Amino acid sequence: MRQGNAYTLIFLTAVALVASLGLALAAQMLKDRQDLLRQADMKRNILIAAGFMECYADAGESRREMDPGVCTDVHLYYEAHMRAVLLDHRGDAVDEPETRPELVDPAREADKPLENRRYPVFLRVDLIEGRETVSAYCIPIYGKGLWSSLYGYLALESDLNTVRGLTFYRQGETPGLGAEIQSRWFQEEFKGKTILDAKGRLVSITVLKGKTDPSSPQAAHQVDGISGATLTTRGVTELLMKSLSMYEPYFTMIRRGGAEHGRR
Amino acid sequence: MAVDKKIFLDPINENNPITTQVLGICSALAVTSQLKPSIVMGLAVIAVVALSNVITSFMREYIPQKVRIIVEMTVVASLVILVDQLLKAYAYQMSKQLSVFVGLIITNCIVLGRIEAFSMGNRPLPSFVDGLGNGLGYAIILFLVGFFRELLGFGKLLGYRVLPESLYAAGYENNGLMVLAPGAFIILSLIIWLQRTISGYRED
Repeated sequence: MRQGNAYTLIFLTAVALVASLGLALAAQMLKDRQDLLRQADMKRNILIAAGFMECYADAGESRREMDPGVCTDVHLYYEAHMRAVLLDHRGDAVDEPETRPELVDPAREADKPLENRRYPVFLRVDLIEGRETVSAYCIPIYGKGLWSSLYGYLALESDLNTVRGLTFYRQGETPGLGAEIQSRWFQEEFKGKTILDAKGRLVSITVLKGKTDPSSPQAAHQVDGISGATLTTRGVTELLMKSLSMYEPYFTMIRRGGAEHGRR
Repeated sequence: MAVDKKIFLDPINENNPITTQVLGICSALAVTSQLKPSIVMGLAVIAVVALSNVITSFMREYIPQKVRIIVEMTVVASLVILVDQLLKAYAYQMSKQLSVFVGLIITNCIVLGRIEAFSMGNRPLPSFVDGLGNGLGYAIILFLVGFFRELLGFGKLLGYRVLPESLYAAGYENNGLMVLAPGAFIILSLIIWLQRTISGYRED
């Protein structure tokens, strides 16, 4: 009978070895392709938030699968139109050539001590009258939804008050409900909303439960909620406030006329 | 060796894992709000059930009885991780949409149920056919539920609008309940009702 303890142990070790070898091999083989897709997806989201790639602005298009060729195009387009800056917690630019700003994970940064945290900003640079001018500021937004962490980008116009665009690129909310934060109609709502009140204080943008009242003085800082996804959208409200506050020192500096964006 | 046709056909209709055995309900409710994730999920489960059945069937003579569940889970978990990795590499957007539910195939009772009930006591070929049949039986129900939920809940199929604008102009509205989990329950129980009326199946 093959019931001895020695046999059992050897058998289990063999199974574990074969399974882990197989998985390690598969992960290694697929890694390049996964990274390409993941990074292209990130860059595409930054570009969409910054107001590029209007072809993806239609519903459903932003979820379309990309082949490696398209990924390379996205990469080149990104390199041509976006500049990345890395900030510390005081809003000062830091020079760390070994850190790729696109790959900074906001969740991991939040676990670090304050002075070691890095905050990436992606600047949309347009040529206006032959001069490179920053026309949008794109920041990562991150926080908790109902079930999962939500990751996205928010782009502000050059006045650092008006929202230019917003995207979510990673979430694990209920399909059809909370996951609707990834849909075009929801993200489209944020365009043109403002994050500062009349006195210039940060009020961020609130996702309401239900519809906004256009006659309300607060309407410029509010968007319609998603029915059946109150907890997810409450998370969106919180993460917008939190993320914007983190960048407020940097934004305040620029609003006051700090002309140097610390651009690389 | 010819494989009995019943091994394949039985789980698709008369002994369907979802409608008759009422297994795997969690994912059937969770991913079916639209048709496309339902299809991908169905295919993923077919692949996992069929392959894990074959592999465990090959190993069945050698697996020590005391630790057989551990070995079975290792096989299933490896396959599920493999499917998840493949989705991430070849269908990135879909893998984002399905999120945790691909990983949760591991806990789908159908997979472990088929290994325990069939492949541990049968040869690889019939086990493969049994896995295909059960996976397909699961997938078909997912397709049906996903089809009706997306049609009634969004007026779309596979993301394309199918209900004409004129219908909405005439006062038709999408049914919000279909988007929620109760919508899946209702569709699912209607399917079960219909199937049991035709087959005359009774709970013992």
